[in-house]
Amino acid sequence: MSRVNFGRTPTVRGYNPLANTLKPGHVIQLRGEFYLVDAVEGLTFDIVCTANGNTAGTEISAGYDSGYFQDADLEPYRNHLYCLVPSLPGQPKFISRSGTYDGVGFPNDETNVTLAAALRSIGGASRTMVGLISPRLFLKHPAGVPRWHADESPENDKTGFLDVTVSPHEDPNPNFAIWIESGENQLPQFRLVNTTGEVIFNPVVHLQGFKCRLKHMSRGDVEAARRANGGKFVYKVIKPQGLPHAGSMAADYDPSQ
Amino acid sequence: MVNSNPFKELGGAKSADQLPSSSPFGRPPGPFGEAIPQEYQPGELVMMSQGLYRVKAAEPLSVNLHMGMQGKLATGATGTTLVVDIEESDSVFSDENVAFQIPEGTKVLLGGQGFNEVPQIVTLSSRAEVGRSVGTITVSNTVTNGKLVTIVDSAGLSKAYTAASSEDLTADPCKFKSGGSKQLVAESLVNCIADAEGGHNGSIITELDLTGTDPVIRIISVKPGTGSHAISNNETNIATAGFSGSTAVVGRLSGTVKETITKPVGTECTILFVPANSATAAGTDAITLDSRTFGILESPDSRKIIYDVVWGISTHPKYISAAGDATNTGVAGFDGSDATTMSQHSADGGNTDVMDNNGSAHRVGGLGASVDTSTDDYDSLSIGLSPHGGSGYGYGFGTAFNGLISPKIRVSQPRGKVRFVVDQMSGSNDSSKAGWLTATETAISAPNHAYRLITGSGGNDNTLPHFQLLQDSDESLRDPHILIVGHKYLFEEVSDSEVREMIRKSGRFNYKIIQDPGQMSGYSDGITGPSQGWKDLVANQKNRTMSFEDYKRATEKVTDQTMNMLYGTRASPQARRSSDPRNRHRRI
Repeated sequence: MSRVNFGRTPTVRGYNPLANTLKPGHVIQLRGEFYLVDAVEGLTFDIVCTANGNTAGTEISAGYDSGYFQDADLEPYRNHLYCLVPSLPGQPKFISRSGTYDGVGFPNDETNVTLAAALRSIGGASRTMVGLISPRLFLKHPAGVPRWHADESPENDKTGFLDVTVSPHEDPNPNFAIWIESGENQLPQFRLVNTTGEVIFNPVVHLQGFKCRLKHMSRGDVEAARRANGGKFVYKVIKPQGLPHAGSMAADYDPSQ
Repeated sequence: MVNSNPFKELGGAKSADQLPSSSPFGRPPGPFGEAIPQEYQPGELVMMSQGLYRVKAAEPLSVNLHMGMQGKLATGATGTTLVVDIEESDSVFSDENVAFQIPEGTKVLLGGQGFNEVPQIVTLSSRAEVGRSVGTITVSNTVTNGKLVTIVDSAGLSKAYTAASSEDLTADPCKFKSGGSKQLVAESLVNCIADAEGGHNGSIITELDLTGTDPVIRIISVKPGTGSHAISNNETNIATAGFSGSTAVVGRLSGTVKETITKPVGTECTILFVPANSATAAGTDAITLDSRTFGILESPDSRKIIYDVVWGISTHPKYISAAGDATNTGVAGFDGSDATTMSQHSADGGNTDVMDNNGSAHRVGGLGASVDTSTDDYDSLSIGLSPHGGSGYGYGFGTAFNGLISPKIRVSQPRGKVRFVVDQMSGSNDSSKAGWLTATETAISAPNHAYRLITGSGGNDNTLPHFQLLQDSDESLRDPHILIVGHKYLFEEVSDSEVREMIRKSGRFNYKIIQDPGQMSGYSDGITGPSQGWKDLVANQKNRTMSFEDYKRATEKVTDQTMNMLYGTRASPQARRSSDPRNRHRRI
């Protein structure tokens, strides 16, 4: 099915750490175990949200809410690890020639305006593009654990979302990267909500990043590496699960006080 | 930059007319993006899958590769007539219900894109059709009442349009206006052909070209392939040409070019154009061109040379039309060769039917006369000619939205092993998930380092990347291409004795790692099958009993570099890389 997308802006990516986060030969510590990074490769994956719920057409209407969903194709093989940055494509937002901006979509500037009074002209009036809009993306990762939110309102829609302002598709925000390990409960669960008041024609979640293959290092391997490196053993710590869930931090919170 | 032992330069210099022109729309404004770092400096040691090497020299590199539709010249050296049979596997190009138009100015590259090819670049001098019959009706003057223009479409529907004093679209066949001016005659004939009842009801596309002395109606059969197309007339002021069913072949481009074609029949061609997905067949998921590779991406040098490059995908302007349409709006506000696409932004008004000229006292009347309407009571107003993309490149803040779309490109390296794809989709052609990259991820104006390509680093000659293009957007693409920039490196093997000497002197040595691109993605998940794939495992294990250790190794395959890192390096095996068999044919 032909898809409408509005492409990218001509801007240049900001700081792009994806090519340097991990390289072959790096050692990482993951869940208390050491792994040697065996190979690294870029990665791209698009989730078209209409295919996860609204299958009619390629666009989503104002107020669309996908609910939380997951895509099993995102599960890596054993000993593979994904690092993916979600981002959202922008859609142009216009103010119409008459100054209206609430849900105007793409106004037709070819329609005639007939004025009752004589001797008046509309001249070259036309819509004006004023910005880029997108739906909002929420995440639960690992399964069932809300992310990116303020602690006191984990399921509140005013916190914990990405949109084209925070992470545009041509310049994804690496602060919101997610690590995906093998295993079903490691799959990210997304929710796409259209709060723009406009029809969104390209409801896609772009995931960009890299995957790497890991070789588990036995205690003997670690010791050998330490010896070979003059007693030093350098590694990076990867925390794929983020902070503990807010629920576990709320033990000292008493709403009655 | 290169040391005293320079790289061999094997490609001869080509004249400008043998080089495809630069990107048709230039580059969007803005900086280039992150600089491409020279990762390895002369003198440094690097670890490859075959062992330890030393960097001898480095030099920057740029390559431009064109990714249009491939085909072969159906007729060669035939003046300015270009006939190309498109040879793509996608069923779109062999479907007898699919046809499309290629715009004037499209370049066609005759010949391959290798260093030892001498291609010819030709340019379409007028729009061309793929798979469809085309004819013309030229009206040189007003015509005599009762004269006939007879057109037969591919299904055999014959209509004899009769000249009459006034247009009559209620008759069957319709009658076209004979007088007034030759332009009015042509316009009326277009109305007749398009009419649902008394005309051909859409089986024939008409384009009315009013740019020349005489109006020309270009008639195109909607149905591609051969058919019973025919056109004739008995009026001396009307000339008809073409529109023979036998000239159209499914998947064949027929056009006229500015240059004189010098290449023979069978010459490989690349048409620097990909039609909009919707322009070919409704319901098609996407147009997928055949995977292709370019031999120039691997050095023919018999020494150890690798190319370490990043690559970007061409960007193409995307507009929302003045009418607010976002689907297949093209790059033009109107079609200059088809007057039927030009609309006048006015409505029937009061007593004078005038168009307002932006508030001035003088206005243009219905016949183009200047009318002083300062005292008129009129209500016909113009909105101005809303420009289609008038604000130029980028997200211009103006009338039109201008984004930059691109084709989707997928890389296999080595052939058949898709890169940059999630594990679960490595065997899929899904247009969203199967490793397709766009200019959003890596653009020619800002190549993304995360999608690096390295060629020549493997232990065999199997690191040549293959590129495949997917078109699922609703816009045609003019000259989709890839820009590759990076560095080429010359390496020298480090011998056993040299390694021992370094360890003796300093106790250790440092090296960087160059990944063998073929070793990232396994053919299977390593659980349900061996990492290297069953075929290789069975071949390697033939006539041998498989031990548990063998099984573990087969399913936990890691790259040679990692084995080197964990269990110690080794010297580079001499002549591990066989000499390039292509050299025998290059006489070097």
